[in-house]
Amino acid sequence: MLKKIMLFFAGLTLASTVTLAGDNILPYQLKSGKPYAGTTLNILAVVTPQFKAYELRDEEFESLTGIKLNWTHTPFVALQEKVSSVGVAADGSFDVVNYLDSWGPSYAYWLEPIDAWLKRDGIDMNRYPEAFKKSAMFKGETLGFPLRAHPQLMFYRKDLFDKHNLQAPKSWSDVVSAGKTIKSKEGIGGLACYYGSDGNRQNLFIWLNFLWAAGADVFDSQMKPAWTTSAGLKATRDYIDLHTKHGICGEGAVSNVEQDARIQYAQGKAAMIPVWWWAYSGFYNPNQSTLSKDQVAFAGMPAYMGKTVTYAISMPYSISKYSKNKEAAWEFMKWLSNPELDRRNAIEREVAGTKIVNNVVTHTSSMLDAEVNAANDNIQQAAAASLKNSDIMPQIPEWPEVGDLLASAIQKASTGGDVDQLMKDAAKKAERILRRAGYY
Amino acid sequence: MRDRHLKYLFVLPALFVVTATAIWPLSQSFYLSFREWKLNRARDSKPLWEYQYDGLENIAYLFDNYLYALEDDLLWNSIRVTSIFTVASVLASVGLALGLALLLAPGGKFRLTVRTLLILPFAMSPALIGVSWRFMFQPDFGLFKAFFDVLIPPLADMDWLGDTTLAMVALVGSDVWHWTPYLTLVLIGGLATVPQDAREAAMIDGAGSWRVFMDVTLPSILPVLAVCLVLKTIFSLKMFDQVYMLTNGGPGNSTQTLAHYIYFNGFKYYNMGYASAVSYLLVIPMFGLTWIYMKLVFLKK
Repeated sequence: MLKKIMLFFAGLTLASTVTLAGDNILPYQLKSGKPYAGTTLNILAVVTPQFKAYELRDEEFESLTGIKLNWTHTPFVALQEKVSSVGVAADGSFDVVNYLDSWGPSYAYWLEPIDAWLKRDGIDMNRYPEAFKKSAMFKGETLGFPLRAHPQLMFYRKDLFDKHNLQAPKSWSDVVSAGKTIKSKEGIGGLACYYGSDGNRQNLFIWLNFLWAAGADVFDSQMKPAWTTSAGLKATRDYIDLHTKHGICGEGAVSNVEQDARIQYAQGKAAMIPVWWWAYSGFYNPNQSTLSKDQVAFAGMPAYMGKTVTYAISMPYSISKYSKNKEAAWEFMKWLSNPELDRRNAIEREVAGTKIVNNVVTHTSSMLDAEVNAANDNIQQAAAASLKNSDIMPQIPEWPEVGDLLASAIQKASTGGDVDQLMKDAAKKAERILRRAGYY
Repeated sequence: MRDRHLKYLFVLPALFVVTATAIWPLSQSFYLSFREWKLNRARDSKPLWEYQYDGLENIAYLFDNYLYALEDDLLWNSIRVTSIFTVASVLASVGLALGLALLLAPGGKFRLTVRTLLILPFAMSPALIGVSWRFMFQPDFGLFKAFFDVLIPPLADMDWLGDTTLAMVALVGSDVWHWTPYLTLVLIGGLATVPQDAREAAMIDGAGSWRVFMDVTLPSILPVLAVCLVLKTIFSLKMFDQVYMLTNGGPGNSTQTLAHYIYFNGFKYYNMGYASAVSYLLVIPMFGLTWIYMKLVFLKK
């Protein structure tokens, strides 16, 4: 009841702002007078309930600006090729594109920096957590807004942890200990591991936690591979040991990619999984999971060597340099990224008659918002904590190539290969790539 | 006179299609192979003639992609993987197809039904086969685990796609499953041309089944068998779909074929110039095999 009353007031606030629009005071720094009325913007976005909910709210934007929106939703597996083709065609067929942050540097050449607009309209990128903000930047320029972004959380089986008197893991040693107990007593995997190399470097997601917490890094200040320092190699060995030495992983750890691991956890075949927060609702959705909500709990990422550093990922929205409607596209970006919409999108469970379940928000204010947290079992609070000490993958155009070398080395190491040698070989190959690219 | 010119007019549409879909892309990729052409900076890339270096550097630059390829460990690894895959898949699929063809050639209602059903695996898309096989190898719920649990328990606990050798076996297996039925049908056609009187004469002379096969059947179907071998080798050399969907080149790079490596360089890393140069390494054996194939199919006649 309380939620309905609050939603009513939220709607009332929006209605008031729309009414005020008639008096030329528009919300979200939108330009008054509908100067771009009649323009149609083409938006390319990944398939996700979060963006579907945005699309279902198109009428709000159109009534404020007179701009029409034409969305194309592409599955993630085909997104990179699709966005690349937009850049190669260079015909402005899409005004706004949505992409994975690590592809950003490759696309930067044809993405419009938004710093001047941000300054003009008084929008501060510090409204996002530092890692999210960084994920939408390249060489000091802001390329877009991180509108879909994820912190890592550790999900675990609350029922099994309670049954065996286990506490939510605070460190990777706790994970190993709990994993061994559950594997021996329940006969399922302790941890859903994903060492598989998928072409999107998913098996580096947890490795980076180990690497950064150990005080090592991917590159040094000279852009030389730095994962081969003694701290870096030890961190890598400890990460691989989860499977090869401690044996706590579920079946198929070496070939599993993140999706396989999520299925493994959701189907009750593993007791813990370190993964993005967006996966939460799927873990108790009866169409995707055998688990009920009271069986699924989450905690922050475990510490390694007494320190927790997490990896964050985002999917920014940017304006194409080839767009013929850049100013109108900027109006769209302001509306789409406004904190009120971010907040509402994680509270309202029905948009324009369609059921939507989304817990992804990107503004710090939304993560700390009581109502947002109440609607999502306080997952945003845990996310905010996870993002306090968080970083992103290196933002260089060559990262996909270098990252894939690492991903291959880690997968090979998880088959029982020589970890140190594989990582050193990867470093040699990475140096060759970066030398050719002119870094040294 | 008019007829002599008219025939060229009839050929023109086909010539146009071949030029647009084969000759132009081939010549364009050959040109690209001498440039540092990045797909993500397509509009920013200079044409070849605009690069200005001093003296010999101009020539060195032209062959930069090829020289880089010579020292590329991952490229050599993909060539090795492609060779292993090609030998294994060609021998297994053609060998199995020959055995099945000999079993199914005599005819009969049952055999005819099996022959008809045989076309189904070949009708499936290779990408779909890759996805299905990946799902069937899934260690928690996969069909193969259930199958091995009952029939060959020691194989049930193996992580097929997580082992460098077994992943290659799985990849070859999926390809053999895809190709064997088609090759079987081709070889059944070949067996139908074996002269019955020669077979019967040999048997009357006291030759056993093996002897008849080696001395009469095999020499008669040798041209068809050669076509099968060449055709399958061509398709194995450019193996991509199942690799992408089933193993994605892993674990590590243990199943990364040349086509997969080229795709990643061109479309994931945007090194289109380098990917073009490497592609020509694949074009060379392809030309050789195509020439042999053409010779077998057409010139023999």
